[in-house]
Amino acid sequence: MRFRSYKKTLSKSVIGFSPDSDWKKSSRDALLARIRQTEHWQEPEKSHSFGSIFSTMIAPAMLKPVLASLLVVSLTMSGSIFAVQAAKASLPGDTLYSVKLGIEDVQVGLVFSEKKKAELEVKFAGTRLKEVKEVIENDIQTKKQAQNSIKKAIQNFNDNLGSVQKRLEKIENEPKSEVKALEISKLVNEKTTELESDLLEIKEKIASKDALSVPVVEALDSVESENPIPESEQAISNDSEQSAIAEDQEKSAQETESQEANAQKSDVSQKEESFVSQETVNKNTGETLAQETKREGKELLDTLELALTALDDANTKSLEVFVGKAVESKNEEVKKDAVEKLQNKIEKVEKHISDTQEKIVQITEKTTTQNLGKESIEVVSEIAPTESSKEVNAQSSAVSGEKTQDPAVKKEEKDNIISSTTPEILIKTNEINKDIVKPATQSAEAPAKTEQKPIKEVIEQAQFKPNQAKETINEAKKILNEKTEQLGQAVEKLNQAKAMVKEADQNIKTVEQKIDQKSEEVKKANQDTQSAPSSIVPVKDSAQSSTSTAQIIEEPIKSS
Amino acid sequence: MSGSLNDKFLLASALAGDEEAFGKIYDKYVEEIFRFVLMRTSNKEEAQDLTSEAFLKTWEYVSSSSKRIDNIRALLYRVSRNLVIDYYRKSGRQVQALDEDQFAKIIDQSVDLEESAAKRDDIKQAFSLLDNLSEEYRELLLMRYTQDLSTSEIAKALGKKEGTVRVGLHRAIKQLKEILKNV
Repeated sequence: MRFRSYKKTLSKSVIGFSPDSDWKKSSRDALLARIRQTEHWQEPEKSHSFGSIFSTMIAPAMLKPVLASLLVVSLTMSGSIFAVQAAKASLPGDTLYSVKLGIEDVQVGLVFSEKKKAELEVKFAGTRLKEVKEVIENDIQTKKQAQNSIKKAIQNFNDNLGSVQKRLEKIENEPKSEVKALEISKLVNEKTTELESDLLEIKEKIASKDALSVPVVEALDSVESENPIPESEQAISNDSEQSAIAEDQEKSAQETESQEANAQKSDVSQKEESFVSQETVNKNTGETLAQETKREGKELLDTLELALTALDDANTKSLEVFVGKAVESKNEEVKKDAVEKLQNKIEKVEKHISDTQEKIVQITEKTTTQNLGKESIEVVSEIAPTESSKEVNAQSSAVSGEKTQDPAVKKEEKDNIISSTTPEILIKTNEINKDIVKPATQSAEAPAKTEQKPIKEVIEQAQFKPNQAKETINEAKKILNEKTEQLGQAVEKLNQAKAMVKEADQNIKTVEQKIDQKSEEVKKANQDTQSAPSSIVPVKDSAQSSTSTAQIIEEPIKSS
Repeated sequence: MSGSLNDKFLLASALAGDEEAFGKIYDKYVEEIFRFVLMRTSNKEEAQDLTSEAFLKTWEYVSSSSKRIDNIRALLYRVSRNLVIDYYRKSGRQVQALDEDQFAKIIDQSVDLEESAAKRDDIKQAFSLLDNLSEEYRELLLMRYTQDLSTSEIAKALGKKEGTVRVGLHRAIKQLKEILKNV
């Protein structure tokens, strides 16, 4: 026999020896399951990653042939690996952050299995939340930067969840993907539940102190430090106090000689006027800044809300896929697991429903107080003229006070002049007040009245929804108790209930927005009414001018 | 080269967090490792168990070792060979070449009935000739011609120097040729 033919028989001999195909598959599954459990597997990026692919395969292949290229490539390689490490530590807002996101995309792209892809995406979503936490905890960035960074991270978080959801949909539609789909959906379901608590924690943190309230205070502080006038807001908001100051000053002026007093008085009033106008400017700039930061904070919270809904959607979708596949599966344990998960979800939705109901109650209370707010405007409109008339009365009495101090020359004439001028002024100020206050209240009342009805309707709708949702949830529970085969129906009911609660939530949001708008309008109206007395200043002047006319009349008499 | 580059890519992906990549390595090599083990244990069930264990051990080594793995195939052979040696050590038996009866059984299980008669004879003869060689030479020849391993892969699998393997193979072939002359 020749050696060549012997070699052939030898190599052919073993081809027929093959293991059982069943064993091959089960052994493979067992192997992969064990791999997943290994510690290394749970932290894939620790020692091996994108960089290790380069160093283990591409780099040697490229570096072997030529020594020169070895030097160059090793330099660039080490550079890129450092860059990769640096990028991994970057936060939103950093220059390398986009590189980090790119690396993550590549990692997802390099992975073969759908499950691994979904797992990585969920993991990266978790990384986004970690970034947000880091941004909140490390005070390196300014508040505005931090807000932007958080927004960016949350948006990316939503993107990650979006692709997870797409993957779930893809798997759901794939036939013969039972085991895979079960694994993936279970994993996504569990991870999203974890992420949800993280996200809620972040939201609480942001809502409580860091991102929202601090910038507002800071903004106000910065305005105050630019214009160091203490208690500017108190002074402007309290008009009666101001008039009291004016009275005091006038009284003190009365003690001195009348001419000097008059000169001083006019000075004071001028100062007062400039003071008032300056303060209003300050207040306006402060308010706009505060409003801006508040608005940004609200936007941030809105994006967080969006993230929460995206998370919830991914969670429900994964549950849907899991339950769908569990029903098809013959494994009893999987079915039990599905039932358990469904029950948990139902509990969550129930909690959500009760939360929504609470919100609705709060909103209805708010709307009633809103009505009170409207009444308060009316009260203001009533009070405003009387107050301003008081002011004028005070002035006129001051004038009459002067008169008593004066040596009694031609009393009657003066009395006549004053008595004839003061009612005129009173009437004028009343008219002015009416003109100012009326349009303001009208503008606030008109939209309020027109919006009153739709808001009520929306609230009623919202109130109705949670009850409906409760009913569907109860149906789902019944189905759950009856048969595990009908799990799909339970999921449907669950989704219905969720949709209802969502609708109620949206209704609440629209009501809240409307209320916000209204309250802003009311605020404006209030401001207008407050600015009304300051617009009476010219009236004050006219009162003064009346006194000065009295003096003009007096003086020639004196001289004579 | 392309095959081994592909292996490296799969291994790197597996280490980067993709178990499915290791699944692909499994798909690629499970049958030949099974054959390799089967020829040493002569028992299908035991061969299957040992093959599963070999893949798992290989993963454990790959994931925990700081060394760079150049050739996953050679590593798989080395691990499975050590497992077979352990298996015999534990059971107190000697490593045996396939005995005729067991061999016939395996062939019957895996070869088509029509082909089997003629094929069985050929294979039987081929393996019986190997019995005339030393254990070391037999192993080298089997690795080279039934498993189609390169000398460097055999060297890595056996933990020997490539030169030693090359010389050993040369001598084994020389001896075999002598035997074949008499057939």
